Amino acid sequence: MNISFKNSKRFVYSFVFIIFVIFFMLIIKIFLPSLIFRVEEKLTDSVYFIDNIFKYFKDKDELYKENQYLKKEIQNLRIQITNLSYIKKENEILRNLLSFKESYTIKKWTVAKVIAFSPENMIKSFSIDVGSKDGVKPGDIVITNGYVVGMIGDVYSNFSTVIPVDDKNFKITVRTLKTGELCFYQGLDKGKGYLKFITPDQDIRVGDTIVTDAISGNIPAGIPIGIVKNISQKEGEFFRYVEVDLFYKPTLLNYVIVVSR
Amino acid sequence: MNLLKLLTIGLIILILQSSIIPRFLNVNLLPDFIFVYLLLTLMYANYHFLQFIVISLILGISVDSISGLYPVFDTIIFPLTVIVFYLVKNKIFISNFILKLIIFILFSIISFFAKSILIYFYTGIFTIAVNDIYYITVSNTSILYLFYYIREFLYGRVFEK
Repeated sequence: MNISFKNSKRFVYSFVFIIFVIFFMLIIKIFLPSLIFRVEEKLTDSVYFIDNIFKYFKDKDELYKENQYLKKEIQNLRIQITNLSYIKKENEILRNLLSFKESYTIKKWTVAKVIAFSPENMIKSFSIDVGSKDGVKPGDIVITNGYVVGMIGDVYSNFSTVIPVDDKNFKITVRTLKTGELCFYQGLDKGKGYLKFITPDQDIRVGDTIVTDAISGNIPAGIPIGIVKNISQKEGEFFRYVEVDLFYKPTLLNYVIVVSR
Repeated sequence: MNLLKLLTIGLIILILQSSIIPRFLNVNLLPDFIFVYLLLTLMYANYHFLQFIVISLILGISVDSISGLYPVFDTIIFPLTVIVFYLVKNKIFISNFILKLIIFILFSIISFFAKSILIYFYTGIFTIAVNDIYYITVSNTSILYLFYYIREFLYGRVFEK
């Protein structure tokens, strides 16, 4: 076979050309789409931009309405958050109240909310939202946060009044926690009470906790009332005067437990 | 002002004092708004003695029914206040604000003592808290002072018949 030099040169050129074409096609295949897409992207963006400008003027009212709706929605959600936080707090308070129940042998109890206080400054009673329909009876003990706050006075069908532990009408048999002395308790004044008929031989100490005793009806024993603050004896009197500082704080009242006798 | 309106306002004050005001103020002692209201009506409104007795009786019974502990407490105190006020009113011409203020302070203190005596009859314990007397008297008179200026502002049309 006779191949001339001229032909061989042409063959090389044609081969280089083909290689170049293939290489060019590969470059185009790799880079061009991205280039095209980029251009397309910019074009589309610009079109969207122009379209948005038109839409902005066109849909201004709709946007305004949507904004208003979203603002309302935010307010609603904020209210919901506030309600939920209140419910959470309320839930914690009620859980604390119920955890107290496990510590004592309480047969029957009702959770109640304090709805009103006495309008008379000299009378310290308050009202709760449970009554005879809920099985509340006069003389039932009212408890909150683990201490006695009062005793049920008048009972109506849907609500009842509570004689607070610092009222002069509140009388109960109690026991001292450390020495176990049995005494009579009576309310005296704001946040104060006193133990009656304490003979000199009875072992009452300052700082001792006063708790309820089962001797006065079917009240669960051992519920704290207050702490002995002061012991004194007047000249010529047989009984000692024992002042009790109460745990009861009327301004903190919200939910209470009514323990049935 | 109509007698029924006067009574309605009194009952609204009673409800507010027992339910909402203790929640907001959150204190042991509150100004005796109903007693202050009764004294203000006695001073500024012109009604017959018997009409005042009826108002005081209704307010007193309402307070006692909400308080619950004593069957008759403000039912005695309120009409007695009206009677004593009329006895004073017949002797002195109450026109000066200072005179009104003095009467207000005296009535607040007297009612406090009368209530303490009544509680003694019910419970057998007689206690007088000096701080309570001071607080109630000052708060009651400050309400009178406030009312006086509001009334001046409204040209005295609040309690006109």
